[in-house]
Amino acid sequence: METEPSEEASTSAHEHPSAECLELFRHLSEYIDREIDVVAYRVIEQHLKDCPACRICLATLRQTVSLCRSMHDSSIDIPETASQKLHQAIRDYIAAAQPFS
Amino acid sequence: MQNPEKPKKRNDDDEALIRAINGGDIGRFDELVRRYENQLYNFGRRMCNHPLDAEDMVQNTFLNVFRYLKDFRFEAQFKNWLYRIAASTCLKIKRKSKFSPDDPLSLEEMLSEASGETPTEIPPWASLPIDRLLNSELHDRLQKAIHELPEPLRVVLVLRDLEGFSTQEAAQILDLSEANIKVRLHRARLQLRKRLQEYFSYGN
Repeated sequence: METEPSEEASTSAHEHPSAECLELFRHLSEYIDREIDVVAYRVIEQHLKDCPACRICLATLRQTVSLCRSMHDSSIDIPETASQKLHQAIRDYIAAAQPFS
Repeated sequence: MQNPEKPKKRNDDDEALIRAINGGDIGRFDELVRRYENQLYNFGRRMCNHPLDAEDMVQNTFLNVFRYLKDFRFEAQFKNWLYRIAASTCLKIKRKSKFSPDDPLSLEEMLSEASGETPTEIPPWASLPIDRLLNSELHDRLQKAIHELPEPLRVVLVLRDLEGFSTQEAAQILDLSEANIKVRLHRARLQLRKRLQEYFSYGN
């Protein structure tokens, strides 16, 4: 379960977007993927607590990522005719490459 | 760290099979193709607009794999090497296609635009469980939006968020730095987020 900055956090103490908001926004994917160091992670979490607009940015980006990842579930098999064509092409290629085997 | 797509261990079954093929049992190449043809076909569908392009990509990729399999040194997972060839093949097919979107906004422009939004509450679509949100219409819209991403962004998004490769693996597959992968992935996600916002604001 991922921890989200509390919705009860303080309201924005700054104009959004501040320079801090812009810096956060640059690293939002890394934050979602947990690919930033602990110090930067904590700085972002603190900012999110103080900035409702950035929390909304995070929620919408995170949902976008979740939707993309869920697309993997719609994988299908290669059509049978395409598979047959593929295997025949490979057999033909191998036969041409190894004419005496 | 929560990234679910951690680097995987080498698939020993692949290694044994490849050693057999390279040792002369060429007939078993068919087995290798069967092992990965569905995965590659789905990768092709996500990368190419047309299913026939995906089929061409799969065929061209496996022919290249056959040509160069003797050069595979088992230093990386075979699957990653396979995707490296597949990604390169996809891009060649796409270059022949008339569809080639313009370069997107720079990250600076996107950041300025996106971070400047001042909504007052989280929109409903961003808080619904995915299984309640993702219907076939949204699926098709999202697939279209992914296809419309510029190639350099699309290939990174597909590898990372749809195929499940880690940043490190995607960097190896595309021969890019991890920093570059992260920047491209962020740009791709921001573009899709914008499309989703538009869809939920005006598209329903």
